[in-house]
Amino acid sequence: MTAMTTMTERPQRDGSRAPSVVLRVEDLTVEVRTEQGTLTLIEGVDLTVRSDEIVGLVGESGSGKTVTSLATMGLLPRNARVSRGRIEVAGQEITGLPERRLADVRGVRAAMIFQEPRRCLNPAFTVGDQVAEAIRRHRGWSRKRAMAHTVDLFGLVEIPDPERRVRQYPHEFSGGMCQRVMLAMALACDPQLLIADEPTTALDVTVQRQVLELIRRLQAELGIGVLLITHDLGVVAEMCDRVSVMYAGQVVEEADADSLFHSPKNPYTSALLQSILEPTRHGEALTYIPGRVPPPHLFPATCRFQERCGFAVDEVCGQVVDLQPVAAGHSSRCARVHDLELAGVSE
Amino acid sequence: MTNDIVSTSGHADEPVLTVRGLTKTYGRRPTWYRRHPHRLVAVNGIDLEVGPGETLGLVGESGAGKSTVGRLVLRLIEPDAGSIDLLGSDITTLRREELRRMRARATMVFQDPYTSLDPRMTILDSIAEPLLVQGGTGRSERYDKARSLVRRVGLNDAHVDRYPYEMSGGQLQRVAIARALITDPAFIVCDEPVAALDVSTQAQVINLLQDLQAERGISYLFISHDLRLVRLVADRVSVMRRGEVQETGPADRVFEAPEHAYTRELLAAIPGRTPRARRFAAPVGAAPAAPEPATGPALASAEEVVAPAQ
Amino acid sequence: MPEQSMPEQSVAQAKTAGRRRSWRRSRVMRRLMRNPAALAAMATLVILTLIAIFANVLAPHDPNHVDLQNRLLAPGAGHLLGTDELGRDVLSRVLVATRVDLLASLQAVGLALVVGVPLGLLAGYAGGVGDAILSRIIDALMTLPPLMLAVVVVAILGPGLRNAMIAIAVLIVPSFYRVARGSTQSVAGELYIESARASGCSSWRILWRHILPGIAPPLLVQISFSASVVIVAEASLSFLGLGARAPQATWGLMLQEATASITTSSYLIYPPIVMVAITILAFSQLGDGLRDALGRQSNEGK
Repeated sequence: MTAMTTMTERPQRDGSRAPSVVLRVEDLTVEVRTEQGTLTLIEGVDLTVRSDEIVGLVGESGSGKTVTSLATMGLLPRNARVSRGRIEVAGQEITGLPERRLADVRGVRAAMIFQEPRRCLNPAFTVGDQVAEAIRRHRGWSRKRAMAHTVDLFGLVEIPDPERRVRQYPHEFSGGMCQRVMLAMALACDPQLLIADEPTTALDVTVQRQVLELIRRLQAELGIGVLLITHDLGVVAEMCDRVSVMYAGQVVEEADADSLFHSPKNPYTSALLQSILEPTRHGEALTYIPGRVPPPHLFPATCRFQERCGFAVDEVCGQVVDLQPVAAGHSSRCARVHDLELAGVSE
Repeated sequence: MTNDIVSTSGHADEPVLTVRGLTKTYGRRPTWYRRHPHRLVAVNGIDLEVGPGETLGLVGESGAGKSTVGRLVLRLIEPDAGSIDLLGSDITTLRREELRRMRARATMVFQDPYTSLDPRMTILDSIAEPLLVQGGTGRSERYDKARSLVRRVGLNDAHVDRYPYEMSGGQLQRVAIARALITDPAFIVCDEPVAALDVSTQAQVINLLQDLQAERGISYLFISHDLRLVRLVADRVSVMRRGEVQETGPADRVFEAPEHAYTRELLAAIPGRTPRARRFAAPVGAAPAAPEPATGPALASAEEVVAPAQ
Repeated sequence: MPEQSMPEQSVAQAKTAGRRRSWRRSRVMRRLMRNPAALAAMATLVILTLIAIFANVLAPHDPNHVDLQNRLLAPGAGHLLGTDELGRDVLSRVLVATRVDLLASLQAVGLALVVGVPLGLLAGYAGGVGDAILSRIIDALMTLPPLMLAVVVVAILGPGLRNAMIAIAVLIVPSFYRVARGSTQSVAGELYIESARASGCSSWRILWRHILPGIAPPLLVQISFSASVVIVAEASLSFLGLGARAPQATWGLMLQEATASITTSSYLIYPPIVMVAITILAFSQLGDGLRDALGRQSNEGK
């Protein structure tokens, strides 16, 4: 009744199929109009997600990671727009698409889950109705068939006793269970890409672990590419195959997870890694990055991390820096990338 | 700040805070027409002790009642039962004016610095306010002390005339700490003091709290959901779940040899620091497996606790 | 948590740019200035205030000078707006009435403010039985037909402009009470109020220094709307003979006097009607503008 039936009803798209690129973002630049004038929130962001991987998008608040994900879903607020670049979701170019067509891309090709799942659910309807409604809207199925599929989906996301739970209201669900409902809704139309924006930040550790494991299992079983947006490097370490680190609206380092954690090539990444709390240390002073992320109207034209960077040298760093490859599948945005030995995390 | 009413902080090794049988229930009391009203026991008969200069970490998941405990021990909310001996006086029996005096000696730093400071007061006024309301100080004395604290917490004079919306979260939390320190308290409740901050800023605030403790011998009740953080700062730890303390002990002992099953569950759920065998190896279409026994389906019921407003 | 994830996030990020936006008051002013209706309303109110202050200088004649030889003159060169039944100059009377009306509404709003706001503050902050009882009384007051309530108050106190204003103040106290109580409840739930308690602030200081400034914006809006209500109410009461007494000049009284000769000298009813209309329009437009300007700001404050 749970995962088995669902798998037979779904189009077979498991890990055995050749992996394809489900998200390709090139040179993405987003501007926002404010009372202070036009500001560039993110600049020249490149990102690729394949159907067989979980890609982490990491950064502090103000780094632009959420703007990137919203642009990818065509969900930017009214006063913001994509001013440059391309976004391709499962082979479909979405920049410049009218809202009506975007709605088709959302849900069918790509789905998104958010930090506070309860706020995404309407308290006045049962959770089953809300998921079934999403299915009916995209597939035009009958109410009965959609509800049956909803029960299957609840099984798939490991909600116990799905036949009973579909008839309950959001307030009867805990935070973790609400996130599972959102996952079920996201999966309702077999998306090829799942964007998870801080999906477990509001959850307790034990529940966080369950939800993360569920996302990992769904990725592997259904062959969905996952873009996982988080500020928590611990979550990245547990979950991701590849990682992009964002700082002040730019990608500053991109690599597979092992290289990134063990031999980072960007001082910012290295500093972030040093600030992960070790569960075994007691009473020592913590290392930290002085200062804070500059707001968009103060983004410098040169290296944006320069003023907080422990390795900055004025002659070398006072220039525009591009993201440059340092090894296969590993690039970094740092003028001193070749003459620095940066610390990663040790086992 | 000397205090005539509650200056009995006593001997050096006497506990700063002793809590016995503390209980708080939300909801209506039963009456003749409503025999079984919906009630929620937020804190259920807990005991705590904080020694001088010591940090007691209070960990637990949301809904465990830790924030309620933090507010109860300062009597920001009224307990239903139990005794709270704070700095030598039974805080549950203090009268209004005595309680107000006590606030100079025992205070609180809140989770969200963006909303814990009055948006219409300048930073300097906010920091100086606790001293002002205690009385007995002149304006220039207050502002001088506030300015020196501003520098002590790592801000500078340019910040003092700003309003909260002009500053970042980390800066605001420093302001909140300065505000808490200005009356020279002996005890501070830190309620998730860095949960609203970015990782790189968290460390700055934690270091500051630790330095201040070493400098001034302040005792902390450090409330957090983050076990890594509690491990780092706490001398002793109490683990709470559903309004009850499950386990209390020295931090090293609790983290290295947890006695209670729930503590072990919590510890097992902490994300690691390095990428390790991550790939989930279950065959396609298989029933959901439990990759690690400690965090498997056994926990499903634990999640169903309805979280009360903390 | 470090990030809000909903779509507001990007807007919030854009707003960090406005971090150095300074002095919310001037910001509210700038928004008001960009609103043509509010701007026109403010200009009108400034002009009305100037008229009120300089009424005696501006008036071409003594407003109370009875000249039975020149009764009911049509508007013309000697008397720009004509003369009334007693031969008094209508223009002069309308100008002086501006002062009387604005002063009277100031009194009524001021009185309602002084009574309604402290009660609302206390009820909203303390809650409990006192709040429940007080709120029921206020609710009951609001269920009475407003004009009837005013008539009853005037019947008790006796007619006259001052008593009419007291009656009107009684009429609008509930709205100030409700706004103050509601806003207090929401501000009192803010973390910085709890933080003030944890820092040893007394309840009085919390109310005075932390809550009152927080509820000022909605009160400002309420004042503006109430002022227009008061102008209308004054006109109605005076028209019914329960407000100002002859020979005092108020718009309501002028209107009442004009109706006596409406068939022969209809031009007499226009000046007071136009003044009342302009004034209430100005107050209510200003109220709208304030609400918009402050409303957006109060959302951002979070």
